[in-house]
Amino acid sequence: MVGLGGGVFMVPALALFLDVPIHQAIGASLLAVVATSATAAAAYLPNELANIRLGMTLETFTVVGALAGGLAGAILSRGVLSGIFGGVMVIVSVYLLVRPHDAGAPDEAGELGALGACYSDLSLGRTVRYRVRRLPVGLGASLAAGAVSGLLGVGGGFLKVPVMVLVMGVPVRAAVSTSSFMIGVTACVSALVYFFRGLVDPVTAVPVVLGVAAGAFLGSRLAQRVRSSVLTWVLAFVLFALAVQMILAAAGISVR
Amino acid sequence: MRKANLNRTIARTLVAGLCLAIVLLLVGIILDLAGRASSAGQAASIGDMTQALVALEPAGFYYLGLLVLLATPVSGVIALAVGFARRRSWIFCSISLFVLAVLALSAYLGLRG
Repeated sequence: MVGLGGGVFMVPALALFLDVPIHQAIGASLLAVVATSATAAAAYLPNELANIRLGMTLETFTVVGALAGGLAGAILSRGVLSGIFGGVMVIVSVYLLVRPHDAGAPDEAGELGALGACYSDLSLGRTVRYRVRRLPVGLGASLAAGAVSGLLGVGGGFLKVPVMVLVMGVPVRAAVSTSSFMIGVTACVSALVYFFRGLVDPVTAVPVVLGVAAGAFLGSRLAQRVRSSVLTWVLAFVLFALAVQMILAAAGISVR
Repeated sequence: MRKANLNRTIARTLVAGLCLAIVLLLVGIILDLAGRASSAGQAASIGDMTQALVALEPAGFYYLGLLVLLATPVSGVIALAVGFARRRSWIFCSISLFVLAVLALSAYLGLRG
């Protein structure tokens, strides 16, 4: 409903409230991101909102980052991971409040280039055409998003979407849709490392995957009825509170 | 039109993989609720999984369901590589194959421990 894969809520919820070891929480979260991505991409892809060529081009750098992040995450200590996660959560909570909206007019230049695309926007009642700009910056951000995803078990969409919209000139709806497709492939890279190293406990992962799949399905329907601005503020507040708790837990201070 | 067809193929692949994974996980839960506890705890390898599946133990279905879920985006990337190759879009076909190679490398590194 708010364009996040859910991993950024999943890991602290499992680690802080259910006392699941953080590595297992990250493993379960990565699988949940794969399930969320499949649900969302299946909805977005037939509408041609997701730009697959752009997504796969960015994915070349994201998967390399995710592999490095996944390998590092599997060996880092619980305290270090919790601390990094808390810091990233603060950034995501701020992102939720200031995230980009469909404000700027897309670049409607005649030549779309190899990565540009067009789609029919029903809300605007016209076809939106856009050309992709500053690809190297997008590739760099994708590498960072992949590393964060692999390290912490999140999708990385909170990094990719703003860069695609604000830097690369992709309309926000196309950016969110493209990111939804990409995060599944990204999460899969690190999830394979966690899964085959035995860091995925079915007792945690199975209910999480089933719950997330049901939630993503319901969310796509509820999104049209719930005011997203109210929901976003609530989520940002909850996320910030969890972030503080996560950072304190990393420092060995329990406030539960 | 061709692009729309490729998008639909990928969407169908993802939905099929997700649905199959969910069905397998639900079968595992039903077997768990029916009291078919796993004698070997959780399946930790493909070999364990096969034994647990033959014995109709929940652990086998959990492992296979999660494995199918992981295979879903991989199948999507394979479908993309094939789709781009059929359209003679060799640059994007190569990009898809590179992503596929990194997925294979991560599975290998995970298995190697």
